[in-house]
Amino acid sequence: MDEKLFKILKEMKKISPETGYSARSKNFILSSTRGADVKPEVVLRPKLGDVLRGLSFYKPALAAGIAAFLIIMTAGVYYVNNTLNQNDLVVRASEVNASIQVRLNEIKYLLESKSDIDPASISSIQLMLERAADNLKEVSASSSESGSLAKSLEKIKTAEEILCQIDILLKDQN
Amino acid sequence: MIDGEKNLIERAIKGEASAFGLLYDKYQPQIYRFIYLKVGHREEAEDLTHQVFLKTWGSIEGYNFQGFPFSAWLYRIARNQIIDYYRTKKINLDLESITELKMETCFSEEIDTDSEIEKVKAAVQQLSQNQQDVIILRFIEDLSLSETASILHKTETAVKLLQHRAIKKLKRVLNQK
Repeated sequence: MDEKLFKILKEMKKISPETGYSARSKNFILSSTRGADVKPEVVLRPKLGDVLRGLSFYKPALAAGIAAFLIIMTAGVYYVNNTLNQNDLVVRASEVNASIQVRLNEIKYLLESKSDIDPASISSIQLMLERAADNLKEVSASSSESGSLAKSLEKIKTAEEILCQIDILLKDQN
Repeated sequence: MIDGEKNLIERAIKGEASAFGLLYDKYQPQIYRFIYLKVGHREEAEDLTHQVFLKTWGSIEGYNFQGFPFSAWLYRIARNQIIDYYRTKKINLDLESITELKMETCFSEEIDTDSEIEKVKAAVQQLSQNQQDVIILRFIEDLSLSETASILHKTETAVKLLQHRAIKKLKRVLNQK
């Protein structure tokens, strides 16, 4: 039984994606970094300046509120990236941190692409960003305490969850 | 990690797309397999694999050489992506569509026609997430205990225990069929 089972499991290593899919996926990912002709939806790593510029083109009132929190959050992300110790928790924190950066990019894209967001949603987004920023600020404040890494990771995850909710809220806008 | 790979990662971190392309070629099949065996649906697996590499490319600057392999980082991103996938599915899928998904898993002939493989594949999907992970990583991908432990955030001893239980449960599920 064991030998047969292990043999079947080994056979499963032959499972592979369809060749056409692999080529398409790879081309899309690699082309996403090409210069000026890159479309907004494939910009993967815009700088903070791009995010703020995008927001200010979109809606000045929204930009003022949200941009402030994006600055705080980006500072938090930068701080977390550069100050935590090298251990397993940090690896996980940097993964979540990377995910936060991706979420910020998505939010930036959605804010640019949505033609009309209702005032209630704008206010919710601002409140949620404030909460996310507060979590990152607490990470900065507590990182000097011993045994605070697990708590920091939880707070970073909470910030990521909040960004995820903003993402969903924006995607739900018609 | 082989020296060539370290060099590729460093070049990818600097933004060299062709270097990331080589990393993609090397790891995409195994990440796809990992996801496919866990979600049991080809198109979903393709979408999730794409997202994993898109996310990896978007955040590769955050990767640093801290004694764990690049593949472990990729698997961790894949695991998070799958968790997100199931979280969304819980909201979006009704019971009927879940049944359809399971049916497709059981009777799919997209990958192979060997009924033994289909049976084992379906049985693997009845294991817990951690048990699935250890079966795929240890027995399909042939990863070492230490590599598997690094991916799963567990000690080697914990992986051995998990592996023992996973095999036991897999055999039990297969015997019930």
